[in-house]
Amino acid sequence: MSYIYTQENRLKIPHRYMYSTFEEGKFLTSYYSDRNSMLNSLRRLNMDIYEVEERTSFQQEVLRLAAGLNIGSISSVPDLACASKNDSSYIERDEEIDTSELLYRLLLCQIAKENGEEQDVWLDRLIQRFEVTKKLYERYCQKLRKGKGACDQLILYWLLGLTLCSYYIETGRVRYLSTQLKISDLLCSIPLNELVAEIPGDGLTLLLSTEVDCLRSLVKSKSLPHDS
Amino acid sequence: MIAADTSRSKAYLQSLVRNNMYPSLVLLLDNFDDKLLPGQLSLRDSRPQSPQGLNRNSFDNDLWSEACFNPETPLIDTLVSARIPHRLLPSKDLNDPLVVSQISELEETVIIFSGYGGVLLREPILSTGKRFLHIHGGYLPNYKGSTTNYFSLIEDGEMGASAIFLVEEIDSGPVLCRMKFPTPPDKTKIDHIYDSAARAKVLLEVLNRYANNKRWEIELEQNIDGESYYIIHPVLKYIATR
Repeated sequence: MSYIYTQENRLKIPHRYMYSTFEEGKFLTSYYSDRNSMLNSLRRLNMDIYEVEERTSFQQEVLRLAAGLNIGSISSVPDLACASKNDSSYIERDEEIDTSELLYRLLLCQIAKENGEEQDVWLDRLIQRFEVTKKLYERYCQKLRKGKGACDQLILYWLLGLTLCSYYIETGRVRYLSTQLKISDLLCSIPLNELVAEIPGDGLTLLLSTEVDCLRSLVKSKSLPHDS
Repeated sequence: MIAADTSRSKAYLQSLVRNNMYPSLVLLLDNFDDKLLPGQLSLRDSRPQSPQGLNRNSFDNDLWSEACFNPETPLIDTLVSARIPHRLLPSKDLNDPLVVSQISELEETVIIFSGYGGVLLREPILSTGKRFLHIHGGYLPNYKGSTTNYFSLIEDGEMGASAIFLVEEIDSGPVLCRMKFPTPPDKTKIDHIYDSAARAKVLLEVLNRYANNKRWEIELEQNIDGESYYIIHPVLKYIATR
């Protein structure tokens, strides 16, 4: 059984996941096989494979990777504390924001446990944009309704994937894992040489290996066989 | 009632008939295309080789009583055998002006809505003065959006359904009735059997309440907060159905 969700370039041909068929047999095995195939490819490029045993290890690795990113100036990103669920006026303003800077700030704030509810507003909007369009644009107006610029910056998908992974680890809310899986499908559908040209290779292994660990934990919590 | 040719519509109609409730008129949204639309098990021309419905007596839990409907029975067969007046709408697009016009002319003020999955009602049809009774497949306000019952199965070990009057914002109308359901006997049949059955059960409940009280009672006026869910990833759907 093949894992079809990464078999075409999902940046060019998005998968809508609409009413996916009931998967039988070794579907989970095909998923693990797909992710392990990517991880093994990264290993052959001498990228470290992480065995994330503790939540804090994931966070520490994210901080280490984030420190090495050349993400412009985050001072242009609106203060997340200004956006609350009860006051959407800030997020409704029409100024443009840089998506990489927003994601970077979200990720750091989430790891530092700052701005709880305000982060949710921004993240929910980004999730909505990705889920509806299956794209992330390099800029959005602050209404986060219409994307502008390029939508093929792979680092944006990686940053959102990391953020969602972090949120899932922190909250256990499966909806974050669901969107993150789709992002990983997209990333794993891209030729490897294009991926590592934009995303730190060890950052990709961190995302995918953490995702697999999260899935294994979830499967175990449901008392399902791992190779089902 | 507005009914697309879907498993959900079949569950609704068969449940209503079985409980001696008959819509005054059913407006049909047909699908003449050669590909299935969300919610359809088979195209309109297919006929079952043998009945596929489940035995009503096979459920230990009464909450799943409506899962005994037959998803292979064409809608038209139920309508004809129950002598329910019906006609075909000029388009399967509910926001088509021709459709809006026909709905505006109806005498009925409340319409049971059972359209194709993923379709949103927009301003023109919502401004006809009719109220559209919709049964959302999830327990509101906690689970708004799509495929929510798979998420709730993973997170809470249960499913839900909630009756609302549709407003422009998705899944946000006042809640008339909501119910929780235990894990179904066969989780591989959620899409076309148990999700439909849960919704049919809530539909019966809300209609019974109306019949007894002579008014639409609101169980939850402020259907706010909660979280929005998007189509569940197949890996998680697989986990939810094991």
